[in-house]
Amino acid sequence: MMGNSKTVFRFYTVPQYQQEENFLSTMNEKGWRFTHATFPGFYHFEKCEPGQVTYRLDYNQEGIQNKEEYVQMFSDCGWEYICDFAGYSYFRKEGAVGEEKEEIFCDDASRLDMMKRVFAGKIIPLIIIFATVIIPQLLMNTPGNSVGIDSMGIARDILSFIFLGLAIIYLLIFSVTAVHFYKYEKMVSGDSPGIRLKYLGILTLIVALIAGIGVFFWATYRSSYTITDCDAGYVVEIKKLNTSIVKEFDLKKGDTVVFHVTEFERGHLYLSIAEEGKEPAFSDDFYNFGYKTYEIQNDGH
Amino acid sequence: MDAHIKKVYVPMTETGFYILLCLREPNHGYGIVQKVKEITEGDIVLTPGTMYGSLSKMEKDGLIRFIREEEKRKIYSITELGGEVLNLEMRRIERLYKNMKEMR
Repeated sequence: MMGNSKTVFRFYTVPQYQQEENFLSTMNEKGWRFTHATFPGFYHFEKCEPGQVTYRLDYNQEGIQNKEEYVQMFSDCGWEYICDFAGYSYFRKEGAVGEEKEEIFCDDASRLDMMKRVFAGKIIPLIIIFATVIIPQLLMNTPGNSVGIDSMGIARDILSFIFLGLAIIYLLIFSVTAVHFYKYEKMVSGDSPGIRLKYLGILTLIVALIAGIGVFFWATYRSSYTITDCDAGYVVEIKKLNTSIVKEFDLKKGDTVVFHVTEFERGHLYLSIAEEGKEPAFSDDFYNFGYKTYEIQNDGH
Repeated sequence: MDAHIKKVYVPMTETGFYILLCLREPNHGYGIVQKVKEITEGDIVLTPGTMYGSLSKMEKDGLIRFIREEEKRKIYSITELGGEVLNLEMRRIERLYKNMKEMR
């Protein structure tokens, strides 16, 4: 037996509200009327007569705060208010998509204003999360060490790749949003060199960030501090560019510790080997790349 | 009139112009929609998203002021600053019209 209600999961990124509107209209054509949405992207429908209905989304926090008069204005103009979800207000009107009277914005300036409200309400928080959480976490969880016996290694690597994935998704959202904004702003104020320069700057910044992350990963996973023949309770610490990599290895007398520093890692490296919780028994600085071999002798020297 | 107002409102959108023109008499958003539809013989139908956004923006910028609420509809009226902006626009459009006539 067919149920009378239906839930569909859909995920739309910030600039995709038009795809969302089209999705709701298509569902209505198939006989499913949108009732409400729940976090993180469940769209609930009830069975109805198939028909042409136009759905429109507005993003206006002030409107949500003054709900009554906001909804009144829309209903005066023939729009049925459905619900709010994720800062957006959903409206619908009987009739096919595409006719001018079936729009809630009648000029590009006000459509751009809505995009600006979306920018302030949704993109700026994303930028803040990106700059204060994603990037620092990515840097912290991507140690400059990929080879060795390391209990934290796999967990770190997984975290590192999760944050890499998030960083890419965020940068993708920023790029798509920038393109949408450019399109609208061009339409509203004309294609001036100033606008082009602004968006060129933004896109350059995004590309530079992607390149930066790429180089960072390339350098990280190419470089290695190879440690071989390890056996009993010593902590090997390598410091480079303010990042400290502390790893535990089982080293014992007679073992050889070989560090392989690739060309890319050239620079000041500080290395120390110590028994757990004790002062370093051995430390060394090196500035050049190449192989360094240390043999563990008495007292861990 | 400060630079921000001039930058945002001069020249202004058709929607903005009609809102200020209508609000020389107190009215609410939907009242403006109807009035504009009437004086443009149905050519211009202002839409609610645009109307709501424009009214709150103009109120924030001090071009119009909220007077009272009637049946869940906010009634606004033009301010002195709004009047100055409207006059600037009227002079600009008059010149546009005059030049169009002369050059035609």
